[in-house]
Amino acid sequence: MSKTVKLTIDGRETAVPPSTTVLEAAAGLGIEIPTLCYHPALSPQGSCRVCIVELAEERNGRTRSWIDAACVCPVVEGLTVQTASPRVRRERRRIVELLLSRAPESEVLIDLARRTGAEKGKFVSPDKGSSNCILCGLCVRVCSELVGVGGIGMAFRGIHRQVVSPLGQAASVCVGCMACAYVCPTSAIESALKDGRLSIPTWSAELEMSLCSSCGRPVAPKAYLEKLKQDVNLREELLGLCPECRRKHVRISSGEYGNTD
Amino acid sequence: MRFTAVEQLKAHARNVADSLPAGGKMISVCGGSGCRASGALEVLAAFQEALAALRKNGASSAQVVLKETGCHGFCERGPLVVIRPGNIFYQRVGPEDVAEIVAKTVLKGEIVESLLYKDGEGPVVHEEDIPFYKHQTRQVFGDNGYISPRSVDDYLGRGGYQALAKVLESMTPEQVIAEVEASSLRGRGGGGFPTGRKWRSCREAAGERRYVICNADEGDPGAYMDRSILEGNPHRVIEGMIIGAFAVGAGQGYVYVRAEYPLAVENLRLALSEAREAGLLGENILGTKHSFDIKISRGGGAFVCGESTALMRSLEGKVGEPRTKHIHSVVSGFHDLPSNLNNVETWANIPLIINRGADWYTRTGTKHSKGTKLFSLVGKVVNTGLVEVPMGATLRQIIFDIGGGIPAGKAFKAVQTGGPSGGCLPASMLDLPVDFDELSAAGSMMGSGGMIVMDEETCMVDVARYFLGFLVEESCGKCTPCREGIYQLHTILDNITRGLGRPGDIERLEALAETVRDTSLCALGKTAANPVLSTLRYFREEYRRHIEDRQCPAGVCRALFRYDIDAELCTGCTRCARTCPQGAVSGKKKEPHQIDPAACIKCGICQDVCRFGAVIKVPA
Repeated sequence: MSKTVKLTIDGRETAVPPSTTVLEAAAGLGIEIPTLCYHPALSPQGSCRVCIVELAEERNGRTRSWIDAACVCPVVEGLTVQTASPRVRRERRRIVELLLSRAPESEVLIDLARRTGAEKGKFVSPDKGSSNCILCGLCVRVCSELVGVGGIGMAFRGIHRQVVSPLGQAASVCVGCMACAYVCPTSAIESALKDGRLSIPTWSAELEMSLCSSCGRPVAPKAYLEKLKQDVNLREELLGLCPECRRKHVRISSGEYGNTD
Repeated sequence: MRFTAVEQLKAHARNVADSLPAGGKMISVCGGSGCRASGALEVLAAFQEALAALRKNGASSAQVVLKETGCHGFCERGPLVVIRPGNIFYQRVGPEDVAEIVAKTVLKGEIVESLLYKDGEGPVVHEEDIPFYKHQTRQVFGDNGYISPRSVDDYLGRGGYQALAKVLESMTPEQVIAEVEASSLRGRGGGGFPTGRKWRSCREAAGERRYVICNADEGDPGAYMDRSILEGNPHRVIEGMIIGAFAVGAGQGYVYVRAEYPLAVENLRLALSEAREAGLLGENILGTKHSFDIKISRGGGAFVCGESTALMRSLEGKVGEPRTKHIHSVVSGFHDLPSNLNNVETWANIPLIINRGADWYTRTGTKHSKGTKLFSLVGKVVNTGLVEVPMGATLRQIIFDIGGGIPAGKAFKAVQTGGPSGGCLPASMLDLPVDFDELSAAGSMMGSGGMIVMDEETCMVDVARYFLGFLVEESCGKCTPCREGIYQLHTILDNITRGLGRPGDIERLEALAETVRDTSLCALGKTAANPVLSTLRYFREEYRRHIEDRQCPAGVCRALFRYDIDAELCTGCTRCARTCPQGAVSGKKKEPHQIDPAACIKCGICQDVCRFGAVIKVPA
């Protein structure tokens, strides 16, 4: 399919493949739209609404204009997109202010507030503990879509919504890969290494670490290495080594794994 | 009996039509949830007993049929009993009245005057002469009072499944869709989307299977139209769905119904199994190539699950959360397959359209809203109940002609239409013709048909606070503006009603309401600000009084008034002092009393018990 869709973003025309989203099309033009719940490796869910844009479409001689989230909005022939119109800037600022009421200490939000002109303290903070979680759901999606584990999920409705492990207890399927913490935009997922164990208090999880067969330092949770053994074709002796020793080992050996680093 | 040909069904329907023999009587006892709550089952049991005794004594030659039916609509006056033919209407019937009804009306055709409906004028004998019924057009709901929801023969006797027979015998799916399109039927669940166009999109969507789904997740506070259709006439919904499945090419259907509707689930389950036994569901319906069956899925009661995409996720067994609708569920819905979702009342309109034709159907209604609409008329209105009126009937006709106006001589203040995310319309809008577009233009919406009437003692800020409070709990929390925005709107409203309003609150509410409306992901959020915006539009002064003057003109917001005793009116009877649970009232006998504001909890009992109107509310 060589067919493309023509649209205008901030006054610039572009042509993209039909399944492209407005966010991707804008990125193609070098126009950056701020996002929080979007990650290129995960399915978009359009929930944080920070990436809202103003859209206009002409149909039967009439112009219809509306606001939508760029990350989930597919391109349409003849669509006009404004990523920073006065209306978009106003609504985006208010959305950031709403998120700030939930996570006033979050660095990514403070930075976004600076860029959007949002002010802290515009709204009262809901009573939800001290977590910086903004409920973007990236952790939930990475765990189920990429890791394939599904150890956490959303619970409760509305303002009471939370990301939780099953019934608030350690998920038996959690391998401690920490992909959740890696994608979290507000660093809301806590973890600590202590006495040879990985503790993730946010998910009530504790996992036993595997120690490096060469230097004895902790490498990764045992459960995670077990999963890697099944998912990735790697030689077992390499999985038993910490990254540093693995590098040494690869240099020593024939170079067979020279590209794995 | 299992019908294996359309002709067989039609012959049987002729046999059971008007099965009441000459001289026979039918006692129709309303068994809807409303009448059950006021004791209809006891009345029914008393009738059973009385009729059994009659038969034992051989006293009656005439055949008497006792029928427990679905909701008749006039819930205010339940339990309801109607003796047919003649439609002699008895209201507020108790088990103790049954013997007299049987002895006089059933056996001798005499009227029991004490049980008749009375309002300002004299007693009314016949159902159709009562103002509540007289001004209605009950083309979808009317059969409820005539049939037992547990008898397919009853439904067949009233012309049931004749539309299906017509479709299977003489129509192509294309013709069915064209007829529904020509009828201009719009979705009764709230969106008002053209049903025919939806069916066509579903039929044309690519997919190895298609589904039809009935949305019975009626969740608006005070609304029970869909519940009462399912409870009282489930076959009508089933017939609509079989026809819809034929039109779009679906082999499987679902009814997504709230688990809180046990009677609806029970009657629907019985109806489905009866329809299966009759060959109306299952493989090769009535011997044709059309195969289709329906399953029931009970929902847990989340308000958001009435939203189409959330409903379908819930139906799949997942968490009921909406997704963006760039791809409509008619293209990719339940299990990512084309799925046609219509609400209970929409399905119930289908047999009517097929039987009478689109030409006939479009004679009722307004330019862009055809047919009738069911409303549940509740709140401060004399005749609480379910009413069906042509689209375009005015609010005044519904609330005053049918509803009988406001009780206790109070003044009408507002009517809330469209459920929690609808809007409140003031007295100046009473002549508004009610249809999809007029209500939206007025800042409210049709919704599924909830209509809550409010009198002069209602505070509109408090009403907005109440509905936003409901939505705080019912927002799924997926998107920021709905989750956080509704909570913040509610917080501001709550503060205003507690006397903590600040200058600029009105503007804050308006700005935030705009964000919630324009940027939320699904219709729940997009409409959630309606109670705030519509009350601000029509009752702005009341907000201002709360914020600037710290006064609640309606005397509802407790923080803004206190009770006082008018010394000139007080006779010192001591009644309030004796009744006050806090001991906050003091005073000597035959001398004016006083209320200690520090001890008073503003429960209002003193005002209720005072016979001289001496207890008054004054600004705090």
